[in-house]
Amino acid sequence: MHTRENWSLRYRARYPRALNWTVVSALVGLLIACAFMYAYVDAQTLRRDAGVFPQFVSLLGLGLFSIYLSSLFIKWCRGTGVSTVAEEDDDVDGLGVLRAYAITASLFLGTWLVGFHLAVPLFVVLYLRRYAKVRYRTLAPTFIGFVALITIVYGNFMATRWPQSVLEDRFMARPLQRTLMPLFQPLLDVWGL
Amino acid sequence: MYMQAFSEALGLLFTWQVLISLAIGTVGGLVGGALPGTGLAGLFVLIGFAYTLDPLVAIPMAIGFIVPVATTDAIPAVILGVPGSASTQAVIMDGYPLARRGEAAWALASAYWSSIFGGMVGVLTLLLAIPFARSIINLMGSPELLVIGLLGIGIVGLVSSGDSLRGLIAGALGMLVAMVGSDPIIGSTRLELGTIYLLGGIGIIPFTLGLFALPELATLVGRGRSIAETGAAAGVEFRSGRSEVFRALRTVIENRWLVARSAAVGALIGVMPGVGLSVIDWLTYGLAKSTVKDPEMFGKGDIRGIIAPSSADNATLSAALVPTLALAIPGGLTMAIFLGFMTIVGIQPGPTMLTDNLSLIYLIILCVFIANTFAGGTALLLSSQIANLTRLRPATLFPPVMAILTLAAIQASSSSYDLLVFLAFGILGGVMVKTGWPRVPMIIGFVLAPIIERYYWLTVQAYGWSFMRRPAVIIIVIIGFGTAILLMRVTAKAKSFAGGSTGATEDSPLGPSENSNRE
Repeated sequence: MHTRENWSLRYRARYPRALNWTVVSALVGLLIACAFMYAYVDAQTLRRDAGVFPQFVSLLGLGLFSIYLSSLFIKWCRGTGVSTVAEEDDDVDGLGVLRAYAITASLFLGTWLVGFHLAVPLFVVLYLRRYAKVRYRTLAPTFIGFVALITIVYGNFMATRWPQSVLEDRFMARPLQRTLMPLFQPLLDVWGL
Repeated sequence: MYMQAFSEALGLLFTWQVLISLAIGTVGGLVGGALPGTGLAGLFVLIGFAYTLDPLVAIPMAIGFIVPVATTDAIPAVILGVPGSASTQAVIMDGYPLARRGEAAWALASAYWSSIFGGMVGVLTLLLAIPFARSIINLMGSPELLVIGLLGIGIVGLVSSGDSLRGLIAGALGMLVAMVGSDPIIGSTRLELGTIYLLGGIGIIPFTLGLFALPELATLVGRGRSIAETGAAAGVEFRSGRSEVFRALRTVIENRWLVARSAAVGALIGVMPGVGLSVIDWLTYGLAKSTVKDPEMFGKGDIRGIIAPSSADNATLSAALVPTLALAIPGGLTMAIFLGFMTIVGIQPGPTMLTDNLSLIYLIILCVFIANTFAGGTALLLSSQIANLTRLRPATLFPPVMAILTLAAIQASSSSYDLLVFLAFGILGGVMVKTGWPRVPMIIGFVLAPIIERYYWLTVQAYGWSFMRRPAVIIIVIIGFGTAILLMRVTAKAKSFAGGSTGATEDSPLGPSENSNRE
C-alpha cells in the first residue's frame, strides 16, 4: 500500500469542477488544428510540387478535426457523457511527473550553459544524491565515469560534434572535449586505443 | 535465390561482430523486459549510437533489444501483479494468483517455454511470408505502394487506443511534422518557420525520444517507488529451480495445441499493421478460456491463462516484422521505432529491401530466432536474478537513462535545438498521454510521410489521377478497408475479454492502458 499522497487527486477532490479533461483534450485538438491551418496557409506560397502534399494532409487533418469536434458537441448535447481521458493512475504523483519535466528542462539549459561534459555528469550525481540518497563515495566515481563516457566514447570514438556552450564561448580558449581528452589519453594508451 | 540469400545470411550470422552485438542486445532486452517502463529504453539508447554503428552491428543489437522484452515482461506480471508491458496484462490474471500460491517459478518457467515455442511460430511465419510478399510486391508499382502506405497509417489510426478519429488526426499530424524542412522532390523549403535549424527538418531521434521516452520516464519518476514496492509483493515467495523448469516443459507439452493455436492467432494478427500487443494478449486469453473444456480456474490461477498469451506475444513480435520489412509499414510502436532505426543506420525497409537486401532480411530472421531462444533459455536459468531487477528504484534509473537519451538526441545534427525539440515533443507527448490522444499513429505518420510523398509524386507524374482506377489499387483499398473493419472487431472482442480496457496500439509499458477512457 503506498502512502504518498497524490497531488492531482487531492486537487480534483477539492476542486471537482475545475478541470475537465475532455475540455483539455479538445484544446489539444484545437492546437493541432491550428498547426494544420498554419501548414495549409504556408503551403499556398510554395511551388506546386512542394506544396500539394502539405495541403492535402492539412485539409485531411482539418476535416477530421471538424468531425471530432462535432462528435464531442453531439455527445455533450445528448448528455450521454463524453469519454474522458486517461484513467487516473493512483500510483502516479502528478507533481513528481512535473518535477521530472522541470529537471529535464534544467538539464538541457545546463548543457547550453556549461556544455555536455559538465552538465550531464552533474545532473546525474545531483539527482542521485537528492532523490536516491546515494552516498558521496559512490557519486565521485559516477561523476568521473560519466565525464569519461562523454569524452571518450561520445567525443572520441563516436566523434560527436558538441554544440558550443556559453562557458566555452566566453571563458575558455579551447572546447571542453579538447581540454578533457588529454586527461583520459593515458588510459587509452594503456589499452592501445 | 532464396537459398543463396539464406546461406549468405548464415555466413553473416556466424561472425563475431554479429554474435556479440546480438548477445549484448539480448542481455539489454532481458533487463528491459523485467523493468516496466524501460522495455524500449534500450532501443532508444541504441538510437543514439545508430549513426556510428555498422549496420551489421546495429541491427542484430536492435533485434536483441526488442525480442526478449516479450519474454521477461512476464516477471513483474507474475511475481508482483504489475504488467511488464502492454502484452502481459492478461498474464496477471492467472500468473499472480499462482505466485501467491507459491507457484511463481512454475508459472514463469511455463511463460518462458511458451515464449520460446511461440517465437518459433513467429519466425516460421516470417520465413514463409517473405517469398510470398516478394512475389506480390514485384507486381506493384508506385500507385499501389502509395495506397498501401496511406492505408497503413489509416489502419493504425483507426484501431489505435483513445478513439479512431483522434488516431487518424494524430497520424496526419505526424505526417505534417515530417514535412517540416524541405520537400523530398525538388528540395524547396517549407514549414521551417523562418529558422535555419528547421531547414534540415525535425530529426527522428529527438522527435521519437521526446514523444515516447520522456513521458514514460517522467511517469516512472512519478511512481516514485520500485516495481517491487509498487506490486503487492507481500508473501510472494520466489525460488527458481531445475525441477520447476522441467515441470513447466511438461505442462507446455501437455498443452501443445493451445500453444500452437495461440501462437498462430498471434502470428496471423501480428502480420496486420496496427494491432497492439495488449489486444492480442487479451484476445488469446479470451479464446483460450472459451475453447477449453474446464475454464473454471481461469482468473484464479490456471496455467493455461499464462501459456496462451505468452506464446502469442512472441509470435506477434516476429510476425510484425513482415509488414515492417516488406512494406515499410510498422505494426506498432516497437516496429515504428525499429523502422526509424533502420533508416538511420542506412537501410531502407520496404519493397527494395526484398529485392536488394534479401540476405539482410534472412539475417534479421535468424537473429530473431536466436534472440528468442537465447532469451528464453537465459530466463529459465537466471529467473531469480532477473527478478531482482524489479527492486531498482526509479530515482536510480532515471538519471543515467535520461543522461544517455540527452546525448542521443544531439547525435544527428549536433545542435542544442535538438534538445528543444526533444523537450517540446516530450511535453506534447505527456499531454497526449494524459488527454488520451494516441501517439503511435503520429510516429508512424512521421516515418512513412517521406516515403508516401515520394510515391505520390511518382504516381501523379506517371499516371495523373487516373491511378485511382487501376484494378490493383481498387483491390488494395477494398482489402485495406476490410482489414480495418476486421481489426476493429478484433479489438472490440479483446476489450470484451479484458473488461473494457486495452491499449489497442499504444505499447505502453507501464501498466493497463494509459489511454483507456471512462465516462
